[in-house]
Amino acid sequence: MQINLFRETWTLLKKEAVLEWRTKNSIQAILIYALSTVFVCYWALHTTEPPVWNALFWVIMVFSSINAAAKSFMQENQARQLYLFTMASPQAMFISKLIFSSVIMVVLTLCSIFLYSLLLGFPVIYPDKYLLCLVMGALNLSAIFTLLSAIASRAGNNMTLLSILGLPLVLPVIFILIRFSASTLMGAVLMSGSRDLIALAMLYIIIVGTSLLVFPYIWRD
Amino acid sequence: MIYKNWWKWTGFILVMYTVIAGLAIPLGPGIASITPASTRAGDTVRIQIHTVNAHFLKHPAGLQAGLLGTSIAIKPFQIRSLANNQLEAAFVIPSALIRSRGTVNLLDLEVGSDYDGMLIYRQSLEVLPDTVFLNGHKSSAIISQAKLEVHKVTPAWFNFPYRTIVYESIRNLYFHVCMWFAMITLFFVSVVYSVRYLKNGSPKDDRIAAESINVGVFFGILGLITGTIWAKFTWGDWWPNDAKLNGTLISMLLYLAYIILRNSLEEEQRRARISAVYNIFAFPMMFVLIIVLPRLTDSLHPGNGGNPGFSSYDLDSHMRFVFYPACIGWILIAVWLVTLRLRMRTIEYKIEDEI
Repeated sequence: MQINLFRETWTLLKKEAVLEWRTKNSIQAILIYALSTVFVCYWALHTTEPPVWNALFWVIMVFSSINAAAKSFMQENQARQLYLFTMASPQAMFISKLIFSSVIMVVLTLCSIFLYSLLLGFPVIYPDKYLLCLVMGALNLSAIFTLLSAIASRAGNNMTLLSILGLPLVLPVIFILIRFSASTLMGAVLMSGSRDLIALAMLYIIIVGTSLLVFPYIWRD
Repeated sequence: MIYKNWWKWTGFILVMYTVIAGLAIPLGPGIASITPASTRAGDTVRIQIHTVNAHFLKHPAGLQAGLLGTSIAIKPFQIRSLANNQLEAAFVIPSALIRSRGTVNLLDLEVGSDYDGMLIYRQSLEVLPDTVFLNGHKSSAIISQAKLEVHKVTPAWFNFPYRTIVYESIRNLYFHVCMWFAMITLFFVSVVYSVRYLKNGSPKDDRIAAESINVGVFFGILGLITGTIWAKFTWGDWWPNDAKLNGTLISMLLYLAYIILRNSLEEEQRRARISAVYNIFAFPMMFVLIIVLPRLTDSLHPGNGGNPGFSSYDLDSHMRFVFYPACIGWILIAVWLVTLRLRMRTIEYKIEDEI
């Protein structure tokens, strides 16, 4: 049973990756969105003050993740979904989408921070902790928005609905992320230590676990 | 009919009791100010003490006062009450009170009677050093024990605690806090019924979940309004940057998003299922935002961010008499509202079914 799940997930994941690689439309769109936002911020601000730098980057990340995860469920059409419904278990479907959007999100985050620091500087004292924070944030955001895009795809592929549902859910995660990343920057007063990291990890486990429990009910249609 | 709806009558009576008792029971006595607030060691000073909610003229039995410092207590040689809320106490401050030049002592003033209990005004009298410093000279007005002999500490009449900063608005406890309790109860009920709907698919469970959230959001908005007014009165700002306030605002956004989600889906079963799923996500997130995050960060609210919790509001004795019935009463009223809305929805559903 478990090996079956693993194989199903792997097959679906390969399908996603191959589809994406052939057309590249999703990853290109997301990258262009994120990088042009970074450029606009650079053009408007020209600043390296750590609080502004940090907050702005997370704002860019939130809206990029809405776009990134939105593509995961909302670009499937009806016929293909019916076919997949008969073939694969809902858990495999969800895990494959989750892994795929997580990978895209992490790649996107790293490209964005690269361009961001090129243009606006990198006032980070603990780069390893900061990058860990970025990766945890990318994983959490992609998990939340993947589930929400599944919900929104059932409500008529409504992007607005995805934002309305998603932003309040994502705000506490953003608070923790901003506090954690601020503690790694220059001029940091707050040493929040590993408590925030544990909070982020627990949130991720809870979100993914609950989504797996609850996804079959959404999928059944 | 009365028998079947006993809980509605109970809720109504409890809320009426809360409103009447919560607003009518007087606040306890407290010291508002003293004049003069500063004196010199070695002086004889007549202190005019202005109190509030006291009855020193009507019930002067056991009237006593004292100035307290570290391991020192000074009794007045004369104390009398000029009005219900004004006392005059005459003290001789010993010149040896200040141990070395350049220091200033701040003494606590304690005043009390048998009827009104003991009132304390901490660090109220500033004692400046004597112009002539006399070594080891003690006045006979000092008593050597560190505490005052106290006969009764609390007033003999039922009162709510008198606290600086909140004063009379402590009564808001019965409205503001009860709104939030009712809201959390309703949200908990709705998530229970959402899980039940996912298990057995009966549309009644879905209706209960939806209407609980509707009424819960209403109570949440009431809680926000009462909290804002209270915040302006006590903290000086309509919306101070406080973790609990921000958390509750985001929770309101979460549940408003639920309502929008329900409105955007047309087909019944799909709407019920998807909103049940979202509800199962929203409830723990709301719990984290309102209860967990404020405890972890700095917060102005009592019970969070290192502040003492409910026990500091004297909930041990007097306020509990009204607070517990108030909570139960408001929760019953909230549930009553939910049942009313449920009846409306059931009728609509049945009409649509027939059509």
